[in-house]
Amino acid sequence: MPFLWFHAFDRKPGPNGEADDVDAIVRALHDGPTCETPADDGTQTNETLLEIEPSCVYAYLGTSTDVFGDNVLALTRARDSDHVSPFDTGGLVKHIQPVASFDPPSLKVAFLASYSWDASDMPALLSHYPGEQEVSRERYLRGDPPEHLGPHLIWADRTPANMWRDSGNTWHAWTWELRAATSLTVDGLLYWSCAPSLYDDILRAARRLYGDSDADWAINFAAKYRAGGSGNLANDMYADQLAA
Amino acid sequence: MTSVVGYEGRRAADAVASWGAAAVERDGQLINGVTGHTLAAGDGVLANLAARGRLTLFNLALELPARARVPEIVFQCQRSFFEEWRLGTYIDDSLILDYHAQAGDDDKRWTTIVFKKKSSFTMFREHCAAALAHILLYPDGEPVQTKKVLSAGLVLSAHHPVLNAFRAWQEPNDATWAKMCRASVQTEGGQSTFDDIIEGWRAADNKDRWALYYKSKDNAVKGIASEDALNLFGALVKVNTVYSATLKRDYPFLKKPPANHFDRFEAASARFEFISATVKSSPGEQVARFLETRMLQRALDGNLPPDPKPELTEAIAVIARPPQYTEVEQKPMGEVSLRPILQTELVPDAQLPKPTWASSSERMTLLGYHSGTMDDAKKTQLTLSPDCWRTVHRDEETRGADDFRNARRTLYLPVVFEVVREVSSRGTYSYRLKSIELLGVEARQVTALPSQLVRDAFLLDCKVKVSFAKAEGVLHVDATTLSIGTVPTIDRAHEWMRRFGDLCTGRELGWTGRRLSPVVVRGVEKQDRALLALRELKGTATIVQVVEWLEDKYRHALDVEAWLSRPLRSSYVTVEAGNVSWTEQGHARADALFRLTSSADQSRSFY
Repeated sequence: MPFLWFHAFDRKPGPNGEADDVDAIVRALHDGPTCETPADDGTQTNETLLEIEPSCVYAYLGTSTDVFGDNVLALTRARDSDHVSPFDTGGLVKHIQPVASFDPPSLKVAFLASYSWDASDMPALLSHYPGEQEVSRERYLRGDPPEHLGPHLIWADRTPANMWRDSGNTWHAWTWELRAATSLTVDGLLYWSCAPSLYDDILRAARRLYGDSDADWAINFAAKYRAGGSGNLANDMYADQLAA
Repeated sequence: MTSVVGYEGRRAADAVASWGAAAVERDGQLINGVTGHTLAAGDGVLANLAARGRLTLFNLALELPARARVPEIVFQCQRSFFEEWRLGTYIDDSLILDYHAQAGDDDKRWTTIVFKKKSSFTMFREHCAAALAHILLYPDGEPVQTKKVLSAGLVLSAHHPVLNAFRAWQEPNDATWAKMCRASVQTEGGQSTFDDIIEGWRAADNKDRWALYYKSKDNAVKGIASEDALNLFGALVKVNTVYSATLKRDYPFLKKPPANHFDRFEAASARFEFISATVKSSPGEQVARFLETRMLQRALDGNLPPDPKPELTEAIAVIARPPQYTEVEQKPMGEVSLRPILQTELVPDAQLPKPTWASSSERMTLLGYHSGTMDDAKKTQLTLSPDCWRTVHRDEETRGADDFRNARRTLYLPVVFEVVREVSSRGTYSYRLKSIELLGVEARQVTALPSQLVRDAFLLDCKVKVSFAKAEGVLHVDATTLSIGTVPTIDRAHEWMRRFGDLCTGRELGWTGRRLSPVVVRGVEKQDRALLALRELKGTATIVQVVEWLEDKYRHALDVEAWLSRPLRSSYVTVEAGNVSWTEQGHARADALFRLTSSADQSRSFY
């Protein structure tokens, strides 16, 4: 199994925590999540500052960067036209040093541009970072910093920034991020998970919404559930991804 | 201060139970108990996560000792149901941090259990799911709140075949829903069980019958002699006894079914009819009876289990070939008309060739722990990793075995043992214990490691030095020290084995990846050999082609029937109409096997 893209998402629960939004969750898993993330998580502000247009849906390679999540999906592939970078772009705004301190802010925009590629380049990019050695892959999946001081030591002609080893940054500074414009394709959906107490409701909603119009999808959907939510899915996939 | 403040994901408003990765607050950080990922737990962070449904918070956090290990899983169940279903029975106190979290008013409705490790929770939830399935299968007279039991069961074990069968059966006319529930089971073995359960309930619902009809040699004679009828019923009772044991083995969630229910006998005829369900049959009894009847039907068609017991072959012969009658017909369940019994030859067990040991491996020295003694101490169970154990035969020549007669003294302690793997002429294998000793302070050399990559393969010729200082509870593995505690428990044993396994995996990956060493990675099981065959044959082939390939490659005859009976229950291959195909998982495994077995250029076959 190659490295997987993880995307955690939520749909606002009802006022009493009831699962009245399971239809929205199922639609997101059927059609692909769109950028309906709540505005209060700062994503749209960061996109404006980094001149990312249109708004994107984000996924992370190997594991999910979200510490806690409600629903999560693991994908084997992205659209070729989506974009990738070897860090969490949101972190460039305030957290990942030294880039977060670049002034004027247009330097951050240029930095992002210099480390952005099409998702179709991913196989070649992965052979450079984290590389093909088991030890490097393991280090990446564990979230440990790379051996290099910064990505410019891998892609020599790009903007230098000592943001990796000995930088004091967290793994947001060295995770591969996928930016899917407007919506994320779920063609490569391998597994999904949700809070265990929502699972049965979600499966029944999938039956109700798509059981007649798209029965094959509904049956495959049932076969792709992994129990335990976001953290457990990422944890369960660790060994499989490493063994690839 | 360290405290558990809640768990990952939201708890649905009508939830009977829920669980998730523990959310732990320590030194201003919020930690995910499973991934270890952290987040600054500043003002409003918890409330924000809870509002978005990413976290279920306790009203009052559960405080832990300052440096306590971060627990991994939190489980909650409505207290009234938790007590009614007696789920507390399945808790091992040594594996949890707290039972009832002392929390605010709202939380008093809930029983909250904080598990130190995910593996402990996995054990707990499997036991609970089995208990809930049992409540549904065998209601004891009290009305069962099926919806609540099912809801809790699926929260605990979403892939459980029995629970998914109940879920499907709630909508018996919805074929898509049934397929979704079946797909939820995910493993082929589980789906086969799911199919069996549904088929059993359908037979009961339809009042389906199994009929036996004897035709006399003399057309003028109607009916059946009472002596023959007596023999017939005696044989049916014998079959019931044998198949009950088989059922218990293959379907551990079922109770022993009562004898076949004789339902109808037509006067002046020799037609017997049996049903799988009576009005009072529980769902479990309906399934058990159906399965037992189906085994009998299949036996009458010539499909006896491998190595049948003599009493079974005798009983089947009585049913199938009563001398006074020219023909016996049966109407199997699910069919509408009588057809001749296909059974023609019954080979007495005594005439079956006994296996002989064709070859044995070289001696392997392994590290493991002693996990049990069986058959009056003739067999010893040794665990090599948390998910790999072996039952090994011992004999008079086994050195050191006497020290292991009393399992109490040796259980869960590290042992070094030597085994050889013996392969029979029929392709089965077994392990023979050559020596065994408790590991002590004197260093011993381990020469084989259970492979973490390929099940039932071993790395040979490795040289790992191990010793154990019991007083300090410290296991030394070359230059690495593993603390395993002075009191041996299964949990501690699994912890050090897991870490030992990690060390081994690192070596294994290094060795096989670099193609450097004389290390041998072999010992591929038949099922895995079949995957290699399929890889050669592009993923799908007839059974004959696979058998020929295996015979050519491994130079021994294959017991096709035994081989087929195993892959059918696996997730790696499917067998249909004489063709074998690999599944996606099987494809991936075949590729991994191929890489592994071809990476050791100087490899020797293990067999």
